Amino acid sequence: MSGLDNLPTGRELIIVEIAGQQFAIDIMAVREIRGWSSSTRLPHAPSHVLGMVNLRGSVLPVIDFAARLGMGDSDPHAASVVIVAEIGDRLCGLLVDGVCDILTLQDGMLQPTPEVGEPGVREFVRGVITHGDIIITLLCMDAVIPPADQLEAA
Amino acid sequence: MNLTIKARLIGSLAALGFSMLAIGASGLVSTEIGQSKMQSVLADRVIPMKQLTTIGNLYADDIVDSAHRARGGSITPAEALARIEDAKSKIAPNWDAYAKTEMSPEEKTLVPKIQAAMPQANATVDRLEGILRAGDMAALAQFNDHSLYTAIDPVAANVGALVEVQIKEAQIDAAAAQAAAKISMIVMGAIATIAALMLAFATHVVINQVSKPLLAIATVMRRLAEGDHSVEIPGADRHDELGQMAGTVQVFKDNAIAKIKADAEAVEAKERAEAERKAAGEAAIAEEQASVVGVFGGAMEKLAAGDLTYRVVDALAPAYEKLRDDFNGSMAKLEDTMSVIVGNASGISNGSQEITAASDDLARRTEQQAASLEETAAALDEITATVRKTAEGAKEAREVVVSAKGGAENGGEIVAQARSAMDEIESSARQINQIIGVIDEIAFQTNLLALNAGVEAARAGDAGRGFAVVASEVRALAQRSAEAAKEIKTLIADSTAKVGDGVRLVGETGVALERIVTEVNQINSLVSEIAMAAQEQATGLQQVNVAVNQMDQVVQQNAAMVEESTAASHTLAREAATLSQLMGQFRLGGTAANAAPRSAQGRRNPVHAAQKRVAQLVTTEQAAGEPCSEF
Repeated sequence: MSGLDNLPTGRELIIVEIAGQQFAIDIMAVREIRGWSSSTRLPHAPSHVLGMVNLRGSVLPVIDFAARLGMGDSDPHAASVVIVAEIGDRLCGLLVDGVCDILTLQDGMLQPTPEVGEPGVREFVRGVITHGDIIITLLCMDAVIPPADQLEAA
Repeated sequence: MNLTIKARLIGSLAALGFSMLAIGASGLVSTEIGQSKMQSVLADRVIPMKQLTTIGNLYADDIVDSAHRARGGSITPAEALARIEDAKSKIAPNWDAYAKTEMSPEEKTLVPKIQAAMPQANATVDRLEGILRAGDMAALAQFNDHSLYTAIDPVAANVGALVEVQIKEAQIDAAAAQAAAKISMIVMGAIATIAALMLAFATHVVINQVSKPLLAIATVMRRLAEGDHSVEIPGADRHDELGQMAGTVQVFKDNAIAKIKADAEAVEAKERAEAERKAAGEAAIAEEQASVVGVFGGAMEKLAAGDLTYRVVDALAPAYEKLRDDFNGSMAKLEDTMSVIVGNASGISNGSQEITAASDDLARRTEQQAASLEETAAALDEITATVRKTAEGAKEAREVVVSAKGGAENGGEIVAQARSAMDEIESSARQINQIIGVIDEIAFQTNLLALNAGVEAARAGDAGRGFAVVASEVRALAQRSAEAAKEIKTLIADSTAKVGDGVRLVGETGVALERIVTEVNQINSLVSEIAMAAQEQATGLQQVNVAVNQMDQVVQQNAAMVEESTAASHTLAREAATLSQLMGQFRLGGTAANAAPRSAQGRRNPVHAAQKRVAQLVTTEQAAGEPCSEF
């Protein structure tokens, strides 16, 4: 599920900024992008679950993406953006600091995730993209959104 | 005339008494004549005239008139009869009284005519009485018209003629009395004239023959009493009382002359004896005098030559010893005095020369003083001009300060305006910021929309390619606009910060300006004080100027006075020299009378010396500090 081959060349990626770093998300996993609006907190939810927002009548859970990625809590502000991601058959809002760009994947851009001896990294990171001087981390959306039962349990 | 004064006086008085008696007698005689004439007129003319007039009236009025009135009916015939009876009884006594008076020849011719006519008249009257008694009015009328007047008229006419004669006679008598009175007056006048002439003559005699000689004798007696024996006694040849008096006075005179002559002879004898006695002594005295005169003549010659040392040593007559001692004493005293005078003259000469030198110095110094005063006055003028300039400068400075104050106050207002303008800029910046926020928001939303569009286009696959490009462009635009907004925001923030700085600076400027205003006020008061001080200086200088002018006047007066005193001292010096020269002519015992003046130039004037020192000092300073001379 997290192989380099399953992401073809010419695929577009949405580059977001989280905690000062850029992360790439497969555009096909994104349904829409919207601005931050205050969320309704969900009791007993994990600390990275910010709460729920009303998306045209349907309830959308919003996750603090930075917290979820283990990079500390982020503080939502006016420029914060919620990426409405479609993972499996579920919609989930991911709070990021901002959307930087839409990048079209070219040959040779994607490189394998370096081995750091931690299985969690491989679970979340599908690979890294070098773009100019910076490195963009390509995230694996399936790992980002916990399974439905886990979410429901939460 | 050899009559005595007594006889003369008696004669004169007797002549006067006789004249008075003659005047009295002639007056008495003329009065008597006048009185007898008056008596004749009264008795022979006035009384007969009355009697005649009564007779005429009785006939004319009582008888004729009664007849006419009885006829006219105004009285009854009985009344007329009574009146006629009364008249008849009065006529007869009157005529008898008249007939007894003295008659003049003319009367004597008229009286018989009346006496002849009277019986006819009486008969007629008797007829009238008969008619009246009968009361026959017709007969009365007849009688009145024909018989009455023919009987009565001759009597009445002759009585009237007699009255005329009486008046004429009375006039003649009066004329005679007047003539007599006139003659008596002439006689009395003649006697009075004679008496007056006699009185004048008597007065003349008394004055000439008595009073004047008496006066002459009295004058002579007074002169005799005064000792004048040369007088002539007047009237000695007279034989009256004055002659006797003159003779007695002559005896007094002769006695006095004799006494004077005797006294004169006695005095003459005495004088003669005295003169003889004197002549003997004078010869000896003349000899002594000659020798004394010789000695003193020599001494006087020496004295005239100016030798005061000479003394008379020759022995002289004892009477002249004192004279010699006195002369020698006088010479000694004169010598001493001359010595003192010579010494004093020398002193005066020296002193006058010193005074002359001092006066010259004083004159020079006074001139210097005058020159210094002139320089002082010029310097004062310059100082005055400077002070005036200072005052004017202070005034201008005050004006400038006032204008600076106004400028500073204006600046304060401008600062306030600038501050408000800055505030407005700030508020504008805030608004711009808000607008920029909106734009930013719009850019953000547009970016989101473009992203969504890109997402949709990606989802659409190949069909969404073109749309994806558009979305990318829109997103690029949105990003650009967001960036631009961010830049503007930065710029605005920058400009706001700068405006804040500006506001702070402007505030500081305002504070500075207020400080400037305060300081300008201080400057203003200082400049006012300077102006006041300059004014006071000007006043003080004015007073100094006045004082200098007064000093100048005083110095001028001093200079004039010093000139006069210099001239006077020069004159004094000359006079002193002359005096010394004159003194040199005398020879004195101790030293020769040399009054040569001491040199006055030997003494130095301390003030002069000080002046010289000051002058030297000034010269030295000028030489040392040459630049100073430019001031």
